Amino acid sequence: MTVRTLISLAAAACTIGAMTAWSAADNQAFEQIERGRYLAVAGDCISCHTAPGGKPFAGGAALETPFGTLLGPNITPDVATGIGSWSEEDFWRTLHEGIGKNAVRLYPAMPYPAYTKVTREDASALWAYLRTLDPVRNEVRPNQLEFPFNIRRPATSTWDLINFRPSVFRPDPTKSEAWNRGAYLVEGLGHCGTCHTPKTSPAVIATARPCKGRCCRIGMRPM
Amino acid sequence: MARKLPATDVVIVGLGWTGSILAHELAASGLNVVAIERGPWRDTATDFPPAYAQDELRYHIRHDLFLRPAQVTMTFRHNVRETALPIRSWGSFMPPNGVGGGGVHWNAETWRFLPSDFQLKTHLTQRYGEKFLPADMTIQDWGISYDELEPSYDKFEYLCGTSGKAGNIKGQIQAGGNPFEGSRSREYPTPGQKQPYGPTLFAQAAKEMGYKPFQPSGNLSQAYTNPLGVTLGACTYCGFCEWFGCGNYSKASPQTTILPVLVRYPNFEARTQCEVLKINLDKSGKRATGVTYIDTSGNEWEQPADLVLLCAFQLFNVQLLLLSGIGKPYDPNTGEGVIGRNYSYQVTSSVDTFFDNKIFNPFIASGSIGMCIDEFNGDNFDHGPHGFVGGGYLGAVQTNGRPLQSTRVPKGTPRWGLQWKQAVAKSYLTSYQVVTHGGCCSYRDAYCDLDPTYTDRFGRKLMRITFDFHENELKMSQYLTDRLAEVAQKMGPRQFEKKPRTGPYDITVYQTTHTCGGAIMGTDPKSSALNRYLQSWDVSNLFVMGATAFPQNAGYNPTDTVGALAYWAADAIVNQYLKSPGPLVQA
Repeated sequence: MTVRTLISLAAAACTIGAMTAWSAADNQAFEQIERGRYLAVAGDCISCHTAPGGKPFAGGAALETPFGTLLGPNITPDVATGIGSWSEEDFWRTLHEGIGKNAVRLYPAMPYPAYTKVTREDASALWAYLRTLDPVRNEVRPNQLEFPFNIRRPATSTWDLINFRPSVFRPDPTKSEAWNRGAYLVEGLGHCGTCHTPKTSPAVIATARPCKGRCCRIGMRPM
Repeated sequence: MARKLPATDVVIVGLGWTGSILAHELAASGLNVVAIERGPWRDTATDFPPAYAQDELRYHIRHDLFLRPAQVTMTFRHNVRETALPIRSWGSFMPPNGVGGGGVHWNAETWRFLPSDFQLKTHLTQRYGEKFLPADMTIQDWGISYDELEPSYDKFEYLCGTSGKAGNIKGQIQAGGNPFEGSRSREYPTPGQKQPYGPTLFAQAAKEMGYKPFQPSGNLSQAYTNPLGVTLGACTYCGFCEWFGCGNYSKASPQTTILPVLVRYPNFEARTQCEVLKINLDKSGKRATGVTYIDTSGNEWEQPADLVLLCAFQLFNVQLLLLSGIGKPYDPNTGEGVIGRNYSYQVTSSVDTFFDNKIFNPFIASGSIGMCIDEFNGDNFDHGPHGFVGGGYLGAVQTNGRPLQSTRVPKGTPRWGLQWKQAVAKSYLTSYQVVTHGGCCSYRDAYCDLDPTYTDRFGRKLMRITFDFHENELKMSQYLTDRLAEVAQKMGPRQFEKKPRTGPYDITVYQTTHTCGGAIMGTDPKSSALNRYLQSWDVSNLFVMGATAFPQNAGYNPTDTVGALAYWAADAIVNQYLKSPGPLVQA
């Protein structure tokens, strides 16, 4: 074994060790859960992930798009039909990269282009809160899009390649703390632009015209 | 607005030691049981695996397993002349949170109280006369005897697989055990653990002085399967016992003794991360209808039940009784009322020794390994010449040598810098601490009530603790420490330092989590909140567990007695109460 191999093996081991230690952090703490609940309200997760008359966060709410229907998945900790078998790492990847468990690339109806702004710390708190929800057995098949949009690959990965870069929110040091706090909320969990910024084809948020209104078929018009 | 859930037979508040014991006994008798626990579910393999459980920074310094004061706290003052302030960071005691409660992070010290402890008022009055006791001392008899409780002590110890050497079996004193203990029906379930060097040296010195050293009960010394069929393993002396979860299945906890069996009952349900806000009463105020609790999403729920068992930690039992308006709150001015009355604690001290020629390997440690003497506990000696009552055990109890906190240095060492570092390095292997663990009497001015100023996030008043050490306890501690120092000196150190407990009580410094009282058991409803079966005098379908029931604290760790009382109460509930619901004792 060469020295180089040994070094890279050692580096890999350190990374694994660091990851294990990090993921062992206590997210059963009261403050984590309370913060997660606050963030879940800010992100309004419940509205897309709860069917009308359904159990909270158990999925089934329909989102009509120009390409067909998507159903919000069950994000309760149910192992069989929810995200009970997910790790915190899986959850972070979903928010930050738009890639779910088992490397499934999500459609950006899940507004990961906005949620990518959320910090790792906040994602952990959200995760801690979601883990305390009542697990609900509710089988949901999210992908109800029309052909050919229902075929994820290579559409989603191509879309991501062209239109999306994972990036946590960076505060603007020339602006006030309040401004930055507002920007973090608007651009991140609030995902305001997802509805209030017009989309170009192919359904990309026109970042050149943020919050200027008019978003096809999803409904919201105002500025 | 609380949403009402379908009724159940039994609702249990808190799923720690007593909650788990009672849940199991009642689920096994066929009742539908719902346990509501404020903290998270915890499993050995998931939550404290050996992969990372021995993390001093995380668990000891950053209090990872404990309740967060932001969620629940209380205010504290020494006496009525002070204004109580909220505790924002735990110090003197470490309140538990989560399934398993304090049973997860205790160090398994499993001591029985003395027979005389249960009739303390009568016994001391008879021996020394009423005038010997301070006028403001409010100690009481418990309403039960050691002999009545003995089978329950036995049951709890055999549940836990406690290791040790009995000192008195059916009246026969056994060599190697505690000659002062009450009579046991049989030997400990597992033999005593092997002792490291420090306790061995202490025992030698004690013997030379004419004392009778013995090992206190311990963690598992060998593999053991308890009567429920749950198996524990032998302790591996990792030295991360108290304040930590055991990943080795060698510390008795609800997780390692009861829960694997309990969760398989279809008539048992646990709801975790749900905080009980109050116990609900009917219009008469004499019957509990269930509890109201809040979940992590902020939803309020009402859980109706025929029987309510308050099994939270002592502090929270008292707080819930006060907030629910059950029983008359205690007023120190009039001496009337029972809820909050007779709050007591534990009085500990130590002697630090420094050697030139001995290596102690303090990291070879277990939660309750050690050698102790009981000559100075309870009323085991004549207090007449000394002017105080009570006592404690003296011993070398080697629980840890953890890197961040093992910084014992001789007096006079600079408190920082090169010389300090050198002294820490030198003393780590060659210094040793021996301890006293003394009881605490109850007093008229030591009590709990609701704070007039501070509220929690729900707008409910925080509980206020008013407590300080009294002259009796400080005299006792000085005496015990002096006796301990004599044994320490015999061990042959280069130097030693006596550290008796001094007043005022410092709530910022860790001592023990043995807070007691506040809803005590007794024979008279005017001076106790519970009858001898831990049933509320005021609300007959409410039973209150834990050290809450202790009228005063003895010179021993409380958990064995807490566990025994839970089995004692469970027996009364199953065999008497369920057959004929109502008060089990006529007031």
